[in-house]
This record gives sequence, structure tokens and C-alpha cells, in this order.
Amino acid sequence: MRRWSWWLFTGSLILRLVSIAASLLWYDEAFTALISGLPLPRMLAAISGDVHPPLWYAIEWTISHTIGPSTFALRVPAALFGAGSTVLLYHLVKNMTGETEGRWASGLMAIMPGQLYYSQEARMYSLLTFLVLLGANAIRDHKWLRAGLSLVLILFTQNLGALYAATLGGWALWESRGRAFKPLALIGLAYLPQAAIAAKQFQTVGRGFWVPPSGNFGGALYYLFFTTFFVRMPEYLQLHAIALALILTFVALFALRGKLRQLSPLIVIGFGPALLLYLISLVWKPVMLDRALLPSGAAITGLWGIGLSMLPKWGKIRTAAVAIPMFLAILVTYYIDPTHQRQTSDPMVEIINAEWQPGDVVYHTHLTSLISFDWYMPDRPAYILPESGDLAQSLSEPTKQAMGISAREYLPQTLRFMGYRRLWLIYGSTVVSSDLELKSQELFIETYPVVKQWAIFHNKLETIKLYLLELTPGVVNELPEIVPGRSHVTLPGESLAAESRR
Amino acid sequence: MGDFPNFVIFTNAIAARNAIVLYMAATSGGILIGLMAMNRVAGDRAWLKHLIWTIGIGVYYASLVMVVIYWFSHPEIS
Repeated sequence: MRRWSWWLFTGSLILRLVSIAASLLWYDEAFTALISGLPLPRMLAAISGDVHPPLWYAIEWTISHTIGPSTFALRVPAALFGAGSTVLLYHLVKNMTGETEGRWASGLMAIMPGQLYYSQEARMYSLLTFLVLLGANAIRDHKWLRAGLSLVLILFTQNLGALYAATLGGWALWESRGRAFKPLALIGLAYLPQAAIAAKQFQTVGRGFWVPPSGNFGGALYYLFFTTFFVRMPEYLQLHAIALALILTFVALFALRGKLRQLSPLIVIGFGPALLLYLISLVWKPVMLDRALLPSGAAITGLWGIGLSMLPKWGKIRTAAVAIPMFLAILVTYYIDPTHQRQTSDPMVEIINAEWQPGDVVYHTHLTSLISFDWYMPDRPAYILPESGDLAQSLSEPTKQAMGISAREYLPQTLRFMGYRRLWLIYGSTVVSSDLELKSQELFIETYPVVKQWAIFHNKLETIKLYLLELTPGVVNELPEIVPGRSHVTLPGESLAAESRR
Repeated sequence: MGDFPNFVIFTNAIAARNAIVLYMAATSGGILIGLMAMNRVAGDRAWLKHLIWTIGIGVYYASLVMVVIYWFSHPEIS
């Protein structure tokens, strides 16, 4: 038993460390890296204005200030929590059903692409999975203090973790016939200081968030695919992978139909939070964030493993005939397909670094690219369009101030008066680009002579280009009129520009 | 969502995807239930059970091949 746990942890960790630093940090990770590099008080100020609680950032802050903020170092904690999660699933399933089922479930989780991906990402989702499984084991073992601690840490990890805390808390009360209430409530008091901040963060989400409406019930089922097989595969395989995820779920529930009560914790963790999130999305705001359901993906994987282990021989052969070739294709493309890696800005970074001259400046019309470039090129001067949209990030003013973004909101004409002569415009038309951003970048290209341009990325939803513009004395006067009601905006650089003209 | 014009396209794409997921759930679930019902009807006739499940798995792979062929013969959708 111990030997299996050891091999499972080691094998899982190796699978997660292979290629862990193959791609650069993408926006969310770059944001994590930047704020975990700040002094502690500024970091706390920045995250209180963001939409996430502080536990993951505290871990990354410790890494940044001890080992150093490399891509590898920032992603390693996720790999450790991911590998640890497979061992926790093994113990949970073994104690509920048996050794063989535990090995099937945990072995499957060790190689599940969705779990691999988030164990290679400098974000909090593998930690969330780890804590949910830790809490589930504690409740199963009737260790109420450990369970309470897990639930509080879940709340300090991801605000949507409240769904798991509620689910696990309900199970604990049911399992203990109410006796767990006192220890859970006492430990729960530790969350009170964060509760007020979380309430403010939910208000921020309520004002605008990038998650689109779920629409029909398919939106509630999509996570069954996303948190298991994941999307890092050619598009033509995705429909079949979705079908396979649904088929395996049906087959597992059918094979386990006599044991549903015994396996109710896995079923509740696997389906409960997703259903709750879908209902919240219908009645409040769209918040169906599939990656926050990664712990449910672990429970679903557990159900698949147990179900498959309990199928008769003929059932195993037929399921394997459908599942193994597709699964192998998905796993292979996960590691080797370069076209489906994290979307990063590395090509632009290479071009800018190669052609950089004194008097150059990088200009962003969107927070996404500014955050990424601040991480990639911390020594290059970079500025951003004032009041660029924040639908994608919900970066509040306190967060921008703590990260030093507010002080860099200038129009290009101001940059000329600051002594810059060439402007690297990061042109992006993405799903979260605002009207202001789209129109202003077109206006900049019309106003200033284009020295060079590069097409970086294009698909049905997004276009990314890079322009090198000459900062002539042209002035973009129309900008405040682009969006009605924006003419009142006072730009920080305007007084400086006026002085320079005199 | 007038201030974020591309977000409307994104929202429509997600709605279309979710409709496909629902369709896949209904059809794959329906086919599985159909196969299991036929399996029960086949009783002790092992050759018939083999035939039923072979056809089921064949349908899955045939659809996979069709999608791949369609994908590569229509570059505009990729």
C-alpha cells in the first residue's frame, strides 16, 4: 500500500515536471508572478482588489523571495500539489471501496491531461483539488479538526471553492450527525477577516466578468470533458473526446449503480459544485469557470476508475476499445503538439528584443499584454492606454495602483514629449477587447507612420499584430470622443504635454 | 455588451459549443442505452452480443474518421 503511494506520487510528479517550463507564463501566471514579486504589503493590497483570495499568492510570494521567480520555480508547487492529489484520491477510494479500485482511480488521475495541465500552471487549481481531497479524506476518517482546517484553506484558495466547502461541510455534518458542527464553526472563524474582502470581490465580479453565459444545459456538462481530457488537442479530436468523457461517465454510473450510496462523497464532489455553479450562473451572473471545477474532475476520474475496475471482462474490453486509442492520442498531443500550448507573447518578445533601439517604447491598449510583457521584459519602458477595459481581468484601481499600472496610463502623443521616438504597438483584437481599445489602436496606426508590422496570430476570435510606429508630432485628438461620456477623462500626461509644447 | 463587441461573438461561440455538448450527451447516452437494451435482448447468444457491440464501436470510429476527413477537406473551419 505504502509502496503504491510512493510510486504513484513519484510517477505523477515526473509526469508533471516533464515539460513544466516548456512554455512561458501566460497572462494569469504572469499576473501571479508580478504580484508575488512585490513587497508583502503591496501584494496584499493588490490581491484584495483582485478576484482571488491570498493563499496561493502567499505560496508564490515565498517561492519568489526565496528560490527566485523563474517559470520552473513558480510552477513547481502546482506539480507537488497535483502529485499529492493522486495519492489522496487513492486513499479516499481505497477506504470507500478497496485497494484495486483505489489503484485504478489514482492511476487514471495521474495521467489525466486536465490534471496534468493545472499541475503545470502557476495558479491555484491543483492546490484547490489537493485541499478538497484532503478534506474528503478527513471527513471519511472522522477527523473533524483536519476537515475544518481543509475547508478554511479551500476558502483562502479560490472564492468559488465556497461551493466545495459547502458541499464538504454538508457531508461532514451528515456523516457526524451534527457533531462536527462545533469544530467546523470554530475553525471557520479564521475565515471571517477574509470574508469581508471576498464579499467585495464578488461585487467586482458582479459588475463585469469575462465568463460568457452558459446557455443550455450543455454548459453544465462541458466540465466533464474540460477537467478530464482537457482541450490541449487538435480541434477535430475534441468532439470525440467530449463524447468519450460523457460515455465514460454514463458507463461508470451504470457499473456503479448498486454502490451509489457508498460512493456518494465522490458523486457529490463530482457533480454537486458544477450543478450549483450552473444554477448561480443562471440566476445571478455567468460564473461557470470550468477550471475552478478541477476537484470535480478528480472525483469524476475516480468514478471512471472505480467503474472500469468493476466492469465484467467483456465490458472492460469494449470500453478499452473505444477509450484507449483516443486517450493515447489525447495524451500524446498533450505533450508534443506545439500548436495547442499556452498562448504566450514569446514571438513578439523576440522581435522587439531583436530590433530594439534607444528611444523606443512599448505601448499596450490592453491590460492582458501589459501584464505579460511586464513579466517578459521588465527593463523595457512600457505604457498603456488610459482606462483600458478590464472585463477580462477585473483589475480594480487599488490593484492597478499597487502594481504600478495606474502611473503608466498615457496617450502616445505624451510619450513623444517624454522623449520617445518609436512606439511598439501591441495590437490585439480579442474576445475581451473593448470598443475603446479597438478604435484607439486603429487611430494610432492612422495617425503615426508605420515603420514595420508583423502578423503574430489569427483565428476566428482573435487577431494579434505587432506594429512599429514612428512617433511624429501628430496628436490623437479624437480619442476622448471615441466612447460617449469619455471626454471628461483627465489624462495624467496632458499637463506634461502642454508644458512641453510651451 | 456594446462596450466589448467581440465578446458577443465569443458568447455565441460558447452557446454553440454548449448546444453541441448537450446534443452529444443525448445521442451518446441514447446510443449506449440502445446498445444495452439490445444486449439484454440478445440473451445468451454471444455472437449477437459481439455483433451489437462491434457495430456500436464501429459507429464511434466511423464518426471519428468522418470528422477528420471533413476537417481536413474544409480548411476554412480550422
